[in-house]
Amino acid sequence: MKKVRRVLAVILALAMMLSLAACGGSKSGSDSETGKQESSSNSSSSESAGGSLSAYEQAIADRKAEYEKTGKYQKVVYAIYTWIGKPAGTERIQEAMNEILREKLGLEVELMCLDFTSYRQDIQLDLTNNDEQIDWFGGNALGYTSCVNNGFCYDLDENDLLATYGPGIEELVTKDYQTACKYAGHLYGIPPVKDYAITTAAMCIGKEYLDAIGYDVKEDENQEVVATWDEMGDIFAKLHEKFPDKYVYAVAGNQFGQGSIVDNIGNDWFGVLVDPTKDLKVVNLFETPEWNEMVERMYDWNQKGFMSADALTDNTSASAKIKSGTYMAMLAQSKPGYKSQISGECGREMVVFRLGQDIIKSSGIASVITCLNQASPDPIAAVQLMNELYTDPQLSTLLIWGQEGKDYVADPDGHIHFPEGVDSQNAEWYHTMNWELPNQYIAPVWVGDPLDLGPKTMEFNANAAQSLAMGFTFDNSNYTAEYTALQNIYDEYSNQLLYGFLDPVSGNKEFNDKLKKAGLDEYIAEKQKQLDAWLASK
Amino acid sequence: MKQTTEVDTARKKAKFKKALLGSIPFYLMALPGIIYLFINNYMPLPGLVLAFKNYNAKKGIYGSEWAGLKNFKYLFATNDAFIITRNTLLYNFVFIIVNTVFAIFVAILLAEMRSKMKNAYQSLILMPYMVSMVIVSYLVFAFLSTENGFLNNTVIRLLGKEKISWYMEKKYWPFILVFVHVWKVIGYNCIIYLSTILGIDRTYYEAAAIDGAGKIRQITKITLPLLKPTIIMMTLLAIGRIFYSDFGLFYQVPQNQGALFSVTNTIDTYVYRGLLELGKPTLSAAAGVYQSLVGFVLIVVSNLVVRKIDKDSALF
Amino acid sequence: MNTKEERTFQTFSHIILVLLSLMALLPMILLFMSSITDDTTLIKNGYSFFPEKFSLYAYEYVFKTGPAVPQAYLISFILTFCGVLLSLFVTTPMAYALSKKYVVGHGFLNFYVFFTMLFNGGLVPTYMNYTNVFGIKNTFFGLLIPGLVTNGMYIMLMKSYFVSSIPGEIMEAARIDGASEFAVFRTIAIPLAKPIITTIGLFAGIGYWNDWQNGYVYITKRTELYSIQNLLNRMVQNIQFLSANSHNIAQADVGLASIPTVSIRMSMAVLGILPMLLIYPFAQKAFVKGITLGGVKG
Repeated sequence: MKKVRRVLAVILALAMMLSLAACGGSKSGSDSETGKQESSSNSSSSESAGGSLSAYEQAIADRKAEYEKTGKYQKVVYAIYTWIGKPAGTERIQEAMNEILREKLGLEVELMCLDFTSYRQDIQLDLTNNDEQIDWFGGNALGYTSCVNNGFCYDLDENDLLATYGPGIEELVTKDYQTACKYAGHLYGIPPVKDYAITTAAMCIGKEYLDAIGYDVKEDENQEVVATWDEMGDIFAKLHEKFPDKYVYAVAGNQFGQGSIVDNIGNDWFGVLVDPTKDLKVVNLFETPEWNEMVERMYDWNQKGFMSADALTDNTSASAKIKSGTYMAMLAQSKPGYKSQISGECGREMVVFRLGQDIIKSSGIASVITCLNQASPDPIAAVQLMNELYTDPQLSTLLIWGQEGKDYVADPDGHIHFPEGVDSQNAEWYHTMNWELPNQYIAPVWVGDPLDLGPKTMEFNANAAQSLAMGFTFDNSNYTAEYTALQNIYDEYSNQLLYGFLDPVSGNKEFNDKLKKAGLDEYIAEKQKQLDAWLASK
Repeated sequence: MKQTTEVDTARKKAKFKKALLGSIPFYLMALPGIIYLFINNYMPLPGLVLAFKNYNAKKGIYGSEWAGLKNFKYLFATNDAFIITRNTLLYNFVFIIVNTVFAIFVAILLAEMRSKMKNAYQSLILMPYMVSMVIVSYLVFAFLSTENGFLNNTVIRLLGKEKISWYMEKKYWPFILVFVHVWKVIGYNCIIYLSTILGIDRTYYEAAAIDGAGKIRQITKITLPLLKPTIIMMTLLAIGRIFYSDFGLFYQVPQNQGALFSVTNTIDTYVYRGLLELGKPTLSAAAGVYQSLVGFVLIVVSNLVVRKIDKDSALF
Repeated sequence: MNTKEERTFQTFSHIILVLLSLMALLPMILLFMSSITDDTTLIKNGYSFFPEKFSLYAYEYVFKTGPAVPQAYLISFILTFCGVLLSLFVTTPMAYALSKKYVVGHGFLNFYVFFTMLFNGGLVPTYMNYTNVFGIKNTFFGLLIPGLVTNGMYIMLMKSYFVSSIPGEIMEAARIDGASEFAVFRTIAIPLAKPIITTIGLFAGIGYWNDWQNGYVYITKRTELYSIQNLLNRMVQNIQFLSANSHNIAQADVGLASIPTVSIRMSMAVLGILPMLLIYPFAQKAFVKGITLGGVKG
């Protein structure tokens, strides 16, 4: 079928080209535009009631039997995004994985590596059209909510699919975390094993600057310094005095999301939980003391000259600004091992001040999520594959770091790094997309990260406070008009207020007035209603 | 009496048949275009129903439930509807006038140019057209940045004035946007007019010169009248897109600055901000249908007017 | 004819055009200068005509990380060449046919074209049509076909030229001499329409050269088919994605720290435009010659 269509396209273009070559004149360039929709349906493995075999083993046996008959393995396509497109080593890694998978599961994987840039569009078009097989895809890249609303995702709870064929996943992604990914009671995706919690409001300041003002850095065992916002203000004032040519504070996007525990449930800022670990009342953020305090502080900082006058327009990343040596501090969200990471990014030793606390917000778990295409030809095979990727260290290592000797070599202490002659630019498999992939903690640790990063992260997740609304999702499809209007107003005012370019009192009042006129109260009421209903159903 | 009408109709029929036969070569010439437009534009056209659907991948575009006009609601049920419509319309209106005037002006200068420099000028002026809007936005920032911008560091400093926060002052932006737009497309537009001028029979000018008409007179009496069809055509086409706006110009060039929204927010940027997170193909389809439909109505009406005045210049 | 008015007019023209050219050229020079400025200097001092510190690192980076750059240039050249020829082949005769008022169904034909300027099915249905019916995904045709006539505008422009600038009498005379419609089109209309054909050819060329969207949509697997603008756009946006998600990426320092995030945008813009500027004058000359020859030959 595919061939026929390709031939058609060639004929179409050839006809045009040929008659062109014939120097104008008469033409007979009519071609039929026939063709049928390709249906990518495929008989899924029959579930014959196997006597002694479990359903899990039976599925594998069925696939192997199918292979004996057809000579072809069931293929499962896993679409991942990278920032370097399709790495040169993709086929090699895929084959190495398949050598294991054919034997173990009776199936083959196809790694579809796409640039993040075009991922959203390409995958969305394909999910709409299903002209190419895609099984697993990164739902967060397209927006998890929108994937669910558009009906792209397979319900993994249907017929106990995940429980039966993905026992390893069930174990790693506990029921608690699964609930956090559910949409109206259905599980439409699973998160990778990663850090779900964040340490809010981590202020990172270059150590050399702190040394220059004589600040005595006392880091705790997490390589962090516990401090308050007011102390930051004092330090900034000293930095500003000492280095009048430099800017103190490089602003970064999402200041409020990173800088506070306020939970923007439903993925927007119109109706939030101010103290999500205790209180489930949905309130208007922009009238809360938390917001006012932040806005006033930033206004104060801006007035004192801590920020560049171009802060709103210069969209260079904060870490690049600090690397350039013209800025000294930035706000981020922290996690275990963050100090070495941010220091590397900023090109100098950074001191991480902890102003906030550890929390898992309502969207924290589903913020990176892998979904199964509803049109997947063989959901059972797909889930079984994913199960292996979560649990088999060999497969996970291949997927994340590639093959030993070719893509990485191990140090005696267990750290891994590039082999001789390989670097980040000529590497055939180095996409640094661990966080998107199922389980990075069963693979070795790259040089620069602590060897116990995995356990530490698990501990971090386990100890962090959880938002009570964890797993709540907001369906605003009946409020798109309000949402669009609110979002436009938000874009108009939020950054001006957050970075202190607008008077905190009068500006904020104007902001709130406009929001209310655009239907903020109704929107919040609807959110509360859905939250209550969700709570009741729990 | 009866017979003559019969003869008449027979003659008419014959005439029509002849005209029909005579038309065949032209249909053959148009065939590649007809086929192409059919494939590229008409075959996907049923997809417009997406704007009226509650899309669900399991049911497909055509199988999804009907949503009525629900998807259009967000375009109107907002206090900003007036501002974004006003901005879109006003900017396009100004663009139409300024583009036409400047492009014709430059085209005439180029056409009358005797020097070899002509080609160099033409290529240079066309250059900005080839740069993407994102890059243009960085270049604009290089000029307007508060701390490091050229304007603040040279012109404003020389004048001994305070630095201006360009991106916070909305009063400048209508001018900045019009300037950037014209700067970017003038090369493109002027080439269109230039090609028409180059197509004008030189004998007209020679005859006028012999009659003693000077340069200016030649331009007003020969060039401009002969440009009229092209001007009308370009204007009609622009009217058809009057509800659309160059997203890059209104979103990227002002760096999406909130302080400037009241003069930079257009239908396209408004929709974009809303849909970025929503990710609903139905809503963007609805916006497209709305914009096209208005353009269609406007263009049909203006075309009627043009037909009344000058039938030859009408689009169809 | 060297009257005083003429001389004043020429001087005046030169002044205006030099000013306009400078206005176009200076930002381009700035663009170029920032592409060879050290990344840190750019962040510190902003863009400048006389940067404090030069660096070719951005270019080095592009060529090192994108081994496919020469290949992508090749694709772009082939694409632009085929695209211009093919779109003129579709546009010119159709525009000519539309210009004939006596063609039966003239109004309908014009409307048929005009309608496409306002309405199309949108991205999703267009994609489905091309992919399912014609199978152009991941083929060279995915780059070539969807942008062929972008919309009816070029056809309408050319039609307007045929109507206004080509005297009907000459063609009528030729027809009376027994020339076929095709012969009239080839020997009379095309040579006379040289200015507009060159213009539309140029526009189509710029369109094809600068197009990266079709590559995003239709080229998902065969990376060897990336055109230069497609490749460069991917690189720039990927880097943006990386820096926006740095907090997620454990080993970001290895990847991120070595990327010239600011200057790379500029170097990519330069790499995208430069070949076009260099080749344009020659291409145009050859092109005009081609049209003239074609007309005479027929």
